[in-house]
Amino acid sequence: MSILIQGEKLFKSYRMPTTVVHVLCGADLTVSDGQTVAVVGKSGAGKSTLLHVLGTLDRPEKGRVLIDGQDLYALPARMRTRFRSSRLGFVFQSYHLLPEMDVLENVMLPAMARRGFLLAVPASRRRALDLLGAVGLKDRADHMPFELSGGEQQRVALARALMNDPEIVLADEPTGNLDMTTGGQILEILFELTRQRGHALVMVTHNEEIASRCDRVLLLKDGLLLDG
Amino acid sequence: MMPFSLFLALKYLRPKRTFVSVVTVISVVGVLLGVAILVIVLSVMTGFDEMWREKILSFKPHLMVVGRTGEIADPDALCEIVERDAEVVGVSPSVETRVLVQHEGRTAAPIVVGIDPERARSVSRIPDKIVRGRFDVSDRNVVVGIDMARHLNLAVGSSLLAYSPRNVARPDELYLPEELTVAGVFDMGMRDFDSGFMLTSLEVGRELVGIDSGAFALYVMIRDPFQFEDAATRLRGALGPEYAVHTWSEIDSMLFDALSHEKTMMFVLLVFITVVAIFCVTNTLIVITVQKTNEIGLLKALGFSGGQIMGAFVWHGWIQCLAGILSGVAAGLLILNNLKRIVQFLTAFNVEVFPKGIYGLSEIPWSTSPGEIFRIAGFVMLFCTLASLLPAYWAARLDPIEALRHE
Repeated sequence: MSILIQGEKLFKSYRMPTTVVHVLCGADLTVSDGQTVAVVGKSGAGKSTLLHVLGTLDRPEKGRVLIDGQDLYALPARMRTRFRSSRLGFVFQSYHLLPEMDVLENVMLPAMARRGFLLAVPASRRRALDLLGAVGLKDRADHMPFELSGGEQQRVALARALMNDPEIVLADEPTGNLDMTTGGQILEILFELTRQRGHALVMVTHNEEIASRCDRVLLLKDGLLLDG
Repeated sequence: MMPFSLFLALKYLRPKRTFVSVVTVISVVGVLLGVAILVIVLSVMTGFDEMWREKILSFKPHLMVVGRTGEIADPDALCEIVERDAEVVGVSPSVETRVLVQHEGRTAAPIVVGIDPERARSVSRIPDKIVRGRFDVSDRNVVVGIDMARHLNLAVGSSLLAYSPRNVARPDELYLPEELTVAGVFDMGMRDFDSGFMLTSLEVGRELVGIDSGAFALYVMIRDPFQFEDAATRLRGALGPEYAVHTWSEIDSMLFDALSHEKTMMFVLLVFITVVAIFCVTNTLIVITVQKTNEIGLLKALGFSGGQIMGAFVWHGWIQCLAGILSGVAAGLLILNNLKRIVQFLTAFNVEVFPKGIYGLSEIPWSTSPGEIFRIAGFVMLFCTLASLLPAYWAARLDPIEALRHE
């Protein structure tokens, strides 16, 4: 397997009114094609920050994030935005569905980001419906998010993350807001879909049982990533 | 294909549980009021302008020919030259002077116009505005305005005395006043004309100014008074350099300049109201940006560009403005079309909006044109765009991580 994304000596800290919190202190990470990686660690260890840095949302103070040998933070903001829409998929703990849009429109959002125009191609619509079918919500396509349960909303968020067929899915505690049964179902779908499609998955979790289902487990401790 | 920015703006117009966002409705109403006020006031100003033009054109000559060196010695010959122009529909020699008139111990100082009785009807619409008696300016007859008649207690057949300014100019000589008979009373519906003018024959006019023959000016009426520039140019060519041709617009240039400046001043003052209304749009967009911070963060994380997000907010501002402009124009026109009823309704509460005694008009004049409406709409759209840019830029610049954390 070839290296897909690489984080090199990543540093990130937060300035508080009286102190500076160092969350990443030279963290290194490599993710290969189709690999599933779990990042575990205590609350506040910087797991989400690491995910945001990898997802080009939060610039590290030092270090590089490389994909195909290209440092993403050396690219202009416009290129990073394009990279995000075409090669990354995000799944958040609190779903973040747009309440004004129905389920189908929410799933299609990444396609709209990529193309700039709405419902441009029936192919996007077909793909969104297929993905909704894959997460078991095809018959809820025209429902509004507030009509769905938490588990259903997260399934929509999974479908949305896969809309543009990304090479890497970044999942931030995807089951953190769900009960154990629903969370288990969500994970099943997430693992199945990413494996089926050959997407790499970097998942932040503090649940070691969930982490053990990934190909690799990394522990974020004292700002460094250690093989778990 | 609809751009995503427009799609998102339309979505933001309809929140989750209500038909349309309340803050959006408030800002649309703000723009509506601003636009409606602009449409109403500017239409009334234009109405006044047109009303003055119409009154002036119905009372005063369209063109006036005067000698550059003094009186016109042979007005009849000059009239013949002027009448050759195909656009000229009437011409008459005239003299004009201010006189002091007296009746039953009351006095007034109107301008008396001496005019050729034969040609008078071709250069004045006063004959159509006679409310008492008849239009007759032959011999020693005069027609007077209704307000002057009321002031001097004149009736048809009354005799009045007219004192010429020559009495003042040459104090060592004594001139007896002219005794004139009221043949008719006109009502032009305009106080300045109805109280300050009287018409008599050219002969009487000459006596009052102390000339034996000739005239001070030629009154000329043309087919289309708004083509005055062309007609004046032609007449200047035909009459030669000894004569000057003044147009109705030049004669009353002060009045029209004043009207034009008043309209500009009103526009500038009302613009402030509209700008305040447009601030509602900025306010709404700021509220929406705060409400949607989390969603903006998500959109940025999904790969939407700052430009697309900024576009959504500018579209939102445009939609609000467009709705405000359309409803404002409709409301403005509705009010203008029912102005008479509204004024009557207010009168029932002792609110006199448009006192007839002051304006001498039965209703508020108004006039509007598509051009004026489009100018107002264009101006409001421009300001709305500027008002939308600041919150839109702010939304586009939100840090996605901070925005995603925002609850």
